[in-house]
Amino acid sequence: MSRPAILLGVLLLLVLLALAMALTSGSVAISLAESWAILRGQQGGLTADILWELRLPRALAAFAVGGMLALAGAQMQVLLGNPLADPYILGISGGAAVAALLAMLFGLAVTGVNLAALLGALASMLLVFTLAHGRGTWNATRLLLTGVVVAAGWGALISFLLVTAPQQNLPGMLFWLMGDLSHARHWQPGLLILALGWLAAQWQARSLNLLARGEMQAAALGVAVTPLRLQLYLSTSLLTAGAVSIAGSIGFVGLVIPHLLRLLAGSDHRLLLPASILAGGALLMVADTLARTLFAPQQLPVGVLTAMIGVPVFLYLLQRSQPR
Amino acid sequence: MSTLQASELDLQVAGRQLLSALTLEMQAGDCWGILGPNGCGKTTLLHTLAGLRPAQRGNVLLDGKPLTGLKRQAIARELGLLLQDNLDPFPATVEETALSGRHPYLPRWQGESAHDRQLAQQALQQMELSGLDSRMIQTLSGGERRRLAIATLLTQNPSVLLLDEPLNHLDLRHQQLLLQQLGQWQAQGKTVAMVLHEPNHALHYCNKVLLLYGDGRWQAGDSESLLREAVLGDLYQCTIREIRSDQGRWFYF
Repeated sequence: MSRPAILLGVLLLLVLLALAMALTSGSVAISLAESWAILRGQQGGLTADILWELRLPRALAAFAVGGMLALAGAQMQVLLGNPLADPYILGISGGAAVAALLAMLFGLAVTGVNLAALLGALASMLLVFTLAHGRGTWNATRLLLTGVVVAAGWGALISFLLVTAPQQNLPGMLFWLMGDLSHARHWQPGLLILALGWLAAQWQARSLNLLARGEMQAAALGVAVTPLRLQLYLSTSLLTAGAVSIAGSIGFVGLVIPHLLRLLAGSDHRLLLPASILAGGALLMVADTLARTLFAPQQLPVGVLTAMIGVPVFLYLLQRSQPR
Repeated sequence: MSTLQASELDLQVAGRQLLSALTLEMQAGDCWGILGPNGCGKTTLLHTLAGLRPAQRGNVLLDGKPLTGLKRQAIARELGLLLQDNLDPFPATVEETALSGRHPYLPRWQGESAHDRQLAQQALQQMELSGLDSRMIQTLSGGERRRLAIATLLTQNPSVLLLDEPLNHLDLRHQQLLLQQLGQWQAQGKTVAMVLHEPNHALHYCNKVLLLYGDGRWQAGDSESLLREAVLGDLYQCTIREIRSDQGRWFYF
């Protein structure tokens, strides 16, 4: 078997293991055999309700969000020609956060907050796009600067909202900012956006390999750079908007998963994109399961766990892979 | 085989007129040397001829068709460009890099075939990079990277080749290797245009030269008749001498 097939096979296995872990662990123990019977519709009752109503939707939402963030991160790094870029760097999550926090202050329910986050993300995306496009040409530096400055502006607004918010709203707001899947119900649109985003990205995968070598080299080898950049900007923005509106701004996944896979598997985006989705999805499912079980009944924000798992793994791999 | 034409081409950089009304035709089998002082627009011209930069006025025509009306992929099958420098912010292997030359020929959902790999291997062999296939490009020396960029161009195998200072970073052996390659390209009927800093290379390896003065003026013609002491002295604003030997004419300073 070829190396790419082995890598994807291993990652798929990890996703299944993470799913099994997410379904079986929690305050009510459900065995693997029992989960399987429930999923096949052979068992009903309370455990079945827990599985169908709580754990499965939450696990699928975690997978979708992790996959979207990792996919957006991999593309954002190529768009900006910078391996240190993450999906939040251009202010998408900042715009979402401000809108979501405002929605919380106005006392909206979960769906309202999610919707506000989505609108905030899209508004921020349009703002950065219009400002960066401006007069003249699109270039990575101008886009990066515009995005970073807009993100800083959102950051200031977020601090302002946190400082002035009533005490009882603060925990919810902080959870949202660190990323939290406990209210994540909307896994269907999440998986749909992820699937569409993946198809669009995979369609351009070989062109991404070339754009990663610089826009001049890409254009000289036949890539239409401007439309590709536009597609990358739209796709990373929509994926990020989808992820943050489902689960808040979960850090780390979008930056480190694509990186980790570049270390493991090289820079061919035909492999890197699906591998990022699987690894990002698996990481977030595991992190979310730990977030709700480690200190049960207390739930942790999942963003804390993604970093706690990811940082040592990444540092280990970085140490091990000295330049050949 | 292809021809590349510039018609009434104007180039400006930061409001400065570098080139006015450049009109010339590069024909199959021609090897053009582009000479001129620093900042006179040699690289800008090369990028414009490759269609990577719009001209202020005028057209570039590939086989009689304006570049602006062609798709990038179609252009890349006919016309290749060796950049002055290659940035590589992301890790990649030597083989992957050479294979990227096949990009313009492959449909979207199709991967590289054994044939494509063979072409890339041949190109690597020609540039004496065999055995480095799985090395990361970040670990190569400047000269090896330059040879890899040339190998990528060989894999792309276009009929018009635009080379920006192709001898940069190369040791003497590999300068010779590349200059021999030029002869092969010409024999295959390819059109070559390259930016050079050494008038002797232009004199001995190019049949045509284009001199850019950086203020809008330009001169084009046969290298043998155009390259003279006085012309080069005027071009570079310095004293250049010529010696004649039984090996031909040579410039020195």
